[in-house]
Amino acid sequence: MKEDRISSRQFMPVIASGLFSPMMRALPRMGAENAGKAMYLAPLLSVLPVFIYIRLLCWLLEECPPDKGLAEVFISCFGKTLGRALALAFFVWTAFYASYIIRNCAERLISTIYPQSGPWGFAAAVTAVCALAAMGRLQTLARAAGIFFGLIFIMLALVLLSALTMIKAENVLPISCLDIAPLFKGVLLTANVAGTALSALFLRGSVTLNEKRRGKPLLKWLSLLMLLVSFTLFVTIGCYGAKMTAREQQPFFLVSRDVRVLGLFDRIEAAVMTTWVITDFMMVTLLFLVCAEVLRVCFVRKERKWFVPPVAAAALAGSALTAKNAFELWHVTEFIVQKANPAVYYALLPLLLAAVKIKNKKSKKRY
Amino acid sequence: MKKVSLALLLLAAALLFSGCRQGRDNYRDIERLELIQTLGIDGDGETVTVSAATGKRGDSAVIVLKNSARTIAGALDGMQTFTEKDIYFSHVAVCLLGQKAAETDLYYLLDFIEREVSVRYGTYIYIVRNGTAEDAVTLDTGENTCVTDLLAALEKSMRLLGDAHTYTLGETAQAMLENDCALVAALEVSGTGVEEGANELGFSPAGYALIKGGRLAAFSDREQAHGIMLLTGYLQSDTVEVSDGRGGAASLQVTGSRVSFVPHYEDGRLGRAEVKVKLRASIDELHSELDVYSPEDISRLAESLQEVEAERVEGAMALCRSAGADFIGMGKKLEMRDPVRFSAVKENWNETFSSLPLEFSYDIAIERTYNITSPLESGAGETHERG
Repeated sequence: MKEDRISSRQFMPVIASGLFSPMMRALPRMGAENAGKAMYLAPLLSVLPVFIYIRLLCWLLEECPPDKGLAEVFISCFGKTLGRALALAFFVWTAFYASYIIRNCAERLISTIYPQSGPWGFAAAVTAVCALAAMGRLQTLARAAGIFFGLIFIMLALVLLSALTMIKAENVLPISCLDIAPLFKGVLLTANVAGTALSALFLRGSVTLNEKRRGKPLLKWLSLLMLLVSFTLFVTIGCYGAKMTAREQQPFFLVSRDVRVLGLFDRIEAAVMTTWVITDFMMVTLLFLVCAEVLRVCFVRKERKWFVPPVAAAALAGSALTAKNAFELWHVTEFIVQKANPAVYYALLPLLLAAVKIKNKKSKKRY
Repeated sequence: MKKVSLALLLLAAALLFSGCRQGRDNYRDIERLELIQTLGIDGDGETVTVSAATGKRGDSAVIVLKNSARTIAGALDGMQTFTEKDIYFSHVAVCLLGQKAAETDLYYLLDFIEREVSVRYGTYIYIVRNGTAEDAVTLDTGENTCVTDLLAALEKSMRLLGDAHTYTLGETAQAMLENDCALVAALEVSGTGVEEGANELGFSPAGYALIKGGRLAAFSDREQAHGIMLLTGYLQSDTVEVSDGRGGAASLQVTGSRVSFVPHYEDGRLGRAEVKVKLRASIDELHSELDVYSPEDISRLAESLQEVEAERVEGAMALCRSAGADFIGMGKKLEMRDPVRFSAVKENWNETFSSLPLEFSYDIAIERTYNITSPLESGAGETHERG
């Protein structure tokens, strides 16, 4: 089998287009609720801290072999039993998160365009498409991500630029020192959501790093992503105000519903929401890949793709069990995802990586 | 394997297409749609009556439907039995609310709009003064036009004549959410209310409806509505007829206006505020012996204009203050100037607004009389020499 590795530059669009999914789901509503009208600045302000945090994690991994993913690092550092247990713990969370995204994707389509539908058809379709993509080559996915990111960019630009005339200055201004504390909450929320992408460290073994350009692709794509999200928040809050944005499940849907593109087309929300499925596709595929990679390492197999179907089946079943209706889904978001995500990616993960670093240093392991 | 995968992929993706499932709201054939463009809602707190009218499409007749139920959604659903086509609300352009329904509760309407995925926030809203929404929706418009077109013409004329700004459902919902009050343009159906100002449109502007706490609190008259337009910054143009003080008259066209609110804080407390009105106008028509190139005469006209505008602005402000809420968005403008100091009064702003001492000042100037130097009667055969 040909080696299926991609460069970090190729990997960035996969993460960026995938991250759109949780960001567009959580940030407008929760951000407006927590940070008020200043929320549109939060993604921009979070670029640097998130970048530094990711670089810190990469530094903690510096002494580990570059062709090993996080699961292999855990096993080599903590031993077979504990290492596998830790990797499997991450697998459980990642699989749950994938099922949560699938369920959310279905719910979004129902609450915006197909009110008479049930979620399971959508969930099954998304799962099937993502499973097939995850079973394919990583290089293909990376190439597709580049195209998809472009598509999302065009769609966003079209909607947001057309909506500029709907913005009211008093909805986004003034920003004063009174907004610092809420803005800080907004930055934390953004960082929390962005943390989901850290699961990609499990695919570290499939990504080659350019030693000379370390961090540059990350900073570039992170900045681009946050700029787009900031602009989206600016337009959404600018159109409807923070209070109203905070009350809506899908505030961006309102913008696309009310907008008239180039003065020619309106009622484009169905097209926009369908394009939005791409972001879920990228995110769920990425999570499937992570889950399959963890299982491959834990069960010592050569190829990860055969682990994708059971992972997808588990995620689909999980999406059915996660929430039976929109109310349960809301509770899962508020009381599980928003609390567990930072615990996993901003507490447990850095602790484990610090332990890896210390242990490697003590045993003077060099690769 | 690749071909099988591709086939499976396409098959799975096809599940996302809307046409794959035939349900009431998911599958839509354009030929089978009854596109509702005007929605009228009446209610008394117990029963809701919804009237709906389609637009005029080619030679097809305008369809008007009406139904009553306990809720708006129930009434709309019940309408489906009146037509073989699928009733479709995604293209509703105007929502009319009867006066009684507005006096009862506006939150029910907004609750329905917010939950309903098809009706846009950009839909215009009017309150039918001295009448019901049904009166307006079922208005006999003849064969060549429809209610929706008439309402679109009304919106345009109200905007151009400075009668009222037509707010959208989204703007109304936002204002009620943020400040517990909102302005909604009011209209009258000709024949049911004051005849003056009614025109061939079948509708006439009737000022603003002031909504507070989800209920209709008051109506403005047309003069106050002009004042509200000025205070809210929506006044684009207006023609004002004024006296020249010598028995003659002039028609002045307002070409620009701006109102600024200047807060005066004393010991951290908002002590008073200045309302500065700046207005620029041109002479449109002169029935007077005034020499408009004389500074005294032109300032006399400006004073007359100021008297009219002051009555409008101060009347509008008095109305809003007596209704007990900042309908004109003065608080947001004060906050924009100094958010930190304004934060002290933000919590109870509506109460503060109602009792805050206000000082009005006017900067009114008449800038030109277009391409003429003197009226025909007084200046025939003469040429004015101007430095």
